[in-house]
Amino acid sequence: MSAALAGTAAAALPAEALQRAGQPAPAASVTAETDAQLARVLALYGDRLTAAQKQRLRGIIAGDIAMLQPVRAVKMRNSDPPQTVLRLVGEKR
Amino acid sequence: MIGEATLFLPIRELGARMRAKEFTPLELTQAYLERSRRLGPELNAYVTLTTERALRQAQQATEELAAGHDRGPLHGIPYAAKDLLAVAGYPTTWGAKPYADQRFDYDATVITRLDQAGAILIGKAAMIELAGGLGYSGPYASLTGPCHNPWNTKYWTCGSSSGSGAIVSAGLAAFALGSDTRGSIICPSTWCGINGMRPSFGRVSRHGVMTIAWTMDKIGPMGHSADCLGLILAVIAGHDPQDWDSLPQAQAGFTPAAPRRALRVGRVTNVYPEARPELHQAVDRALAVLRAQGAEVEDVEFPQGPYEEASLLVIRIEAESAYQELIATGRCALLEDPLGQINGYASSQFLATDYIQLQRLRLELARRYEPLFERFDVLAAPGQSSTASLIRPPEAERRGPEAGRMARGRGGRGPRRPARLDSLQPDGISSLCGFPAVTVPGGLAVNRLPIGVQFIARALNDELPLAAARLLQAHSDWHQNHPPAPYGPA
Repeated sequence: MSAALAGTAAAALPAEALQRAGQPAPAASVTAETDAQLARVLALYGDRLTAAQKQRLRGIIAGDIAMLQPVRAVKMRNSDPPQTVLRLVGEKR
Repeated sequence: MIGEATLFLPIRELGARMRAKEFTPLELTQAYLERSRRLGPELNAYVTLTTERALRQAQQATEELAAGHDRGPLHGIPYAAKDLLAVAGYPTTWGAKPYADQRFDYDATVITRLDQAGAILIGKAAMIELAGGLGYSGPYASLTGPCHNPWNTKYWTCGSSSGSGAIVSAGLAAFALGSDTRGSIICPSTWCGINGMRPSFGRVSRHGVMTIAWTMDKIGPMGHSADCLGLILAVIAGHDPQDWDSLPQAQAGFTPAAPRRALRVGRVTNVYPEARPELHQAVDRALAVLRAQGAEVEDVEFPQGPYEEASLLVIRIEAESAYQELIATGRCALLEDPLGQINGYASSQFLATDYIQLQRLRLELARRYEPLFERFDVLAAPGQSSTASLIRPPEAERRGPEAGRMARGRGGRGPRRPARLDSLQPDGISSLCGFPAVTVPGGLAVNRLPIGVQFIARALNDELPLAAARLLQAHSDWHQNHPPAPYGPA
């Protein structure tokens, strides 16, 4: 994955930066989802994390959820398939 | 004695000189190895030099060519491979401390194919740890430290195929292999002033290659000309039953070919709105060359959609699964980059419904390009949104882009402001949809760093961006620019 910033590569553009990017304040549902996901991360891995890392994780999760909004907003028809499908073992290719 | 300028020649020219007996593959390999030993450490370009293997292969190539056994254009040509490609007998570190001592007892399929073509592996190229699979903030996120750009060593090569970019740019090998999940060949090639190609998804085997994201990872060539890229792709492309996503041979195989009619080029106008004007002007200059050679050029816009978001999210989710062991055990704490140390924990919380939605959306987003590819053979855009970035002190880099490396508005001259996600970044679009892309040098910016021009085509039309780039290079000389000495020819 490249990381040119302003061209910034995926990885290099921490999702948390998106949260500081002058975007509108998140909806209450987004904040609630961020809180819920962070709570689950901390329940699973909290003992490994410093206070600063926990704080940073909140920003990452909030950014992830912000990125998900336009993805979730696209309406799909019932039959629209995913790009991942079952391929049969032994299938002749 | 092989002169320095020879080490910057394209593959076809090196082969012609070898066959004219100006030098042997062994002499050429020794020259690249000597230059790599001398300059490689200054650039942090290599993880490992495979000297013994290289000299053995070079001796064999020398004997074979002398005996009239010619394996084709890559026979006797030295190259480097990104250190996520397995090579038996040598470490394969994935650029990351947790895997610093990792070894495989087999070769990646692409290494085997290049062996069979007579190419000579001289080293494993440095890279960003895990190719950025768990996220990173900048150039220090590597087992071998920041990779320095041969055009100006205060600047970065970009990632994640950092070493591959530096090696080709500085004439340390004739070509290199990189990997590209979302821009990791296109960006370092552009910033290092060389040619790079992300082939169509499924065309080149990934057997023996570290995985970031199964539905996004590609292996591709980096070299001194578009012609070189085609020669390399012709060897490494093809069906491999050991890669579950490998296309059938009829689609995966590749032979360079000229288009049967004048190229139709769409000049993308809604791309990189924040880029400095000189980056867009480089595209216009390149397209003027193509137009003079008969190409039809029209303005066009990328279709709207959450391409970049979907690209980043698919990678995040698949990488969490690929590096599950690293995350579950907490060994991700051994990574250099503070972001990479914790990003996997956040990724573990994505919902299955979101992943399925992303994979359904990909089909819809790819379909939005069909009308464009009915009208155009290739879409042209700047190689990246900027020239190479400065390597800042480690602490500033590790705080991430929000700490100061912010986008500038109004063509790069406006006030600093926080970066925003650009949904229509070409790397995100073509990676998400499996489109092939080629970046080629397009001149130098006012800061004397390289600018790139990229061509994108419909999936499995890999010959078209290569044809556009070859036509451009037949009638221009930007690809013959090299870094200043000592990293360029004296």
